Amino acid sequence: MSVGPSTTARSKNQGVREQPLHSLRAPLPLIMLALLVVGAMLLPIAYLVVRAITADANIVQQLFHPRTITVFGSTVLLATSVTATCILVGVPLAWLTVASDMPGRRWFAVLTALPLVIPTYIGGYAIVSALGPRGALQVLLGRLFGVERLPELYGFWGAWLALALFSYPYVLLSVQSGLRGLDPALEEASRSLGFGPWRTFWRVTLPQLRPSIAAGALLVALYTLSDFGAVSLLQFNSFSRAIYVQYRGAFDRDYAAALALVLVLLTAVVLGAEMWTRGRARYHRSTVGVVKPRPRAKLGPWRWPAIIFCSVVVLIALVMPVGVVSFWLVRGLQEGEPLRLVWSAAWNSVYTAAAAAVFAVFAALPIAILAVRFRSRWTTVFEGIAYGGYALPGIVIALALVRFASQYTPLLYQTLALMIFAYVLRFLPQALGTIRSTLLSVSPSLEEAARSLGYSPLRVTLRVTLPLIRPGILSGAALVFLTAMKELPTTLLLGPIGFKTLATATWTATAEGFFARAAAPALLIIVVSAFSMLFVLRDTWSDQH
Amino acid sequence: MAKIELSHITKRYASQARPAVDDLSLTVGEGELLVLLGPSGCGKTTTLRMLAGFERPENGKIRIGDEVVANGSAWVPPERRGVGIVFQDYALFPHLTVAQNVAFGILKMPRRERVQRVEAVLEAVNLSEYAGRYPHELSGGQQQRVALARALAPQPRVLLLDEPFSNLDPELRTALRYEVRSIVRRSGITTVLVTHDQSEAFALADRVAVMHQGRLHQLADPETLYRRPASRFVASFVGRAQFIAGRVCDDQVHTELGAFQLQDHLPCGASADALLRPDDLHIRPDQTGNALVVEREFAGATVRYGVRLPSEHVIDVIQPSGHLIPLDSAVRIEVLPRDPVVFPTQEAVAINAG
Repeated sequence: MSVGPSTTARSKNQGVREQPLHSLRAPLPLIMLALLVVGAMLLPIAYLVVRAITADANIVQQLFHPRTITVFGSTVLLATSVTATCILVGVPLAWLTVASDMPGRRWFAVLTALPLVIPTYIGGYAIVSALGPRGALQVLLGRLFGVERLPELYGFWGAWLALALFSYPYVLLSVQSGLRGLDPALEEASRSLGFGPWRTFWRVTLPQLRPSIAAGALLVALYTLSDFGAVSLLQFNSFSRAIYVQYRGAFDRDYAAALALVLVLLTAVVLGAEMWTRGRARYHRSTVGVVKPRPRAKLGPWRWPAIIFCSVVVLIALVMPVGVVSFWLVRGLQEGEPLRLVWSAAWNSVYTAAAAAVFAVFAALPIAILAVRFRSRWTTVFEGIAYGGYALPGIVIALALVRFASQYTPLLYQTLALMIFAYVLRFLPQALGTIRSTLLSVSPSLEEAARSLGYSPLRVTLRVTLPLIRPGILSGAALVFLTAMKELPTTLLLGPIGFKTLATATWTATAEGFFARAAAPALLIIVVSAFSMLFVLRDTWSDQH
Repeated sequence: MAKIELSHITKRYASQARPAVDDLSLTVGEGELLVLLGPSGCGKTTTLRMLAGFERPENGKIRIGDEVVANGSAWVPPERRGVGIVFQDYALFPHLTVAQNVAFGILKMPRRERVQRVEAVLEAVNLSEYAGRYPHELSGGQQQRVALARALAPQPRVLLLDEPFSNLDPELRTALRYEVRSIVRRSGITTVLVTHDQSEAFALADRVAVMHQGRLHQLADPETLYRRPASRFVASFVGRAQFIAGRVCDDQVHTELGAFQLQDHLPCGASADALLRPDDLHIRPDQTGNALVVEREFAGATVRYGVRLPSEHVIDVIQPSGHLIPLDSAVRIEVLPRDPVVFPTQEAVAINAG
């Protein structure tokens, strides 16, 4: 998952003139391609619905069984508490790094965003091996103070910590971009009307940031609902884990499908709630002119607590997991842990993720062009369906495709093609988000100029549109690559037997307690992801200058 | 060079109740420069976009030269219309140089011929030395001339200009106005220009079509438009309009500024308004005059006076600033035209309601 499509699109769109509505019909090949993508997108969910309807009545009973309701309750509890924590951490961090004069804010802007590259199964691994029973922290405290037991880590608190630590950057990035898009004149107007800095923040700045906060919170909530790594490692019985246990252990596949459907409904409710909080108020810049650079708030003596706050976050969300993994890597190498398997897993990860990135871009292009240039009720529906990947947790897509393939297309079952197809379904929204927002920033009159100069729609796309939106295409591909490389449940369920990626290698080793064996693939994931992340964030860095 | 004919064009957007363009018919002669003038939302840009082929009319027929490019069934896409267009934001391709931008529409020409053509058009717009630059390295005025060169390079049958000067600062705007006019005149191409700026329309146009709420109100040369507006809307949109109330009797309308001859018959006793522009009036100090100077605004060459009539109405008078008349002077008002345009007031009600 990435920073929301909605936030980036919204903030980029603010300065651009309104797009004229085309009355020309969209080219037929474009519509055909889009229909193909939309059809593929609908496949898993349609399959699940059909299964649930045709399953025997027993399923309904099971769905209202106390154990299902318990799973539901704990999933909601986890999602709300993680989201609340991320807002409490992310909003102040965003303000400090964008709107204050805190020393080192540029470094902190990058360092506090980086925990996003640590998948929760690696974060969970770091937490278990550092804070768990007989973990590093406990040994240290035991030696120093004779502490015998730390509070129970497995279950809610562990899952909450792992998820909050590595998903608050969604709120951070979204609010940062919201803050940059705010017109400082609004705050100046508020000051001139007699509001102090503090009241101005509460009455003017914060309400203006509400859509950014909601967009970030939405991503955190969806991330938590779909997370598989943290809840599995830390043994918290949320939907993802329950579905997986049903699927792998109890082999009650109908029940697993029913649970998956409930999870989809839950994510749909979250999406609806975000749209509702967005409200009807408008969040556009009211001035026509150029936005002045934002004057930075003077922190004065408060800069020390601010620095300490940022450092603590960086320390536990970034330094701790990287440190723990490195520690195990060194220890493993000393004891002769072989690295050979890691290289083949790395190669597997890279080429499947690259394939997913390429296909996702090709699938996103027709949808984005239709939605931006040929806006109509239908193209908006297409776009909405394509964003559906955000609402479909990996475990749900994987489960649906496993069952669909084994039943109807045995040829595809257990193939890489099916796994990559699942990646594309799941990560299409990320490519769509970046491509859509760059397309919005390209004036449609450029394309019209090319048409009037004698170019057919297809040649306009190739000669004008694609060269102009190349940055968006590259960013989208990088995002898909990054997330596909980290993806665990889809790979676990859909990878051919014996097919190992960095993600599955890390997870299997960790789940069995071989921390040293998990260290090398985990560190590789972090390093590769960090580079793709820096590529995606390259604009943020230059913005700060 | 081609004639343009629009007949009974209607364009409706799904989201709007009122048609954007409503039963519009007009003809642009070969080599003529026609300006579509009107406030924003009057349908002028939609009309231009239908000519270019970016919008499709629901009803009516568009003919460019001998070819019907749009009617109920036929439809010629923009790339096959032979129409050059200059956009309000110029729409220069940011990834191409000036020369590449200009060459974009003539890539099918043999190389040597193409290079010559690019040089020739750039020469015509005085930008030869900028051929290798990128659009963002040019000023607004230069970008505008590149856009013009690019549109002219393929030798289109028709040139369309959409608010071409609105993104420029005022001084540059006037300078470029004359330059663009002379370039267009020299190429002799049939041209349609869209603007909301009345002075721009007057400076450039052979004829001006004034549009309002999707309808054509008047199509005439600038002087006729100013002196003999066909509707109250045209009168107030083109220049400053003041309506003096009066009553009709014996084919004359009697107002407090005198009686004026009617052109069209109106029944005796009907109320009507005479259109008097500030420059239709002249004042001179006169102790016995029944009007009083209550405002004075010096504007260099001219001066504007606010003059209070016995009816308490204040009307504007603009005259040369040679002899300034002090505030609070009693003055006598002279009406220069014999037969100002008169609008019956029922029409005012109808237009305001529509």
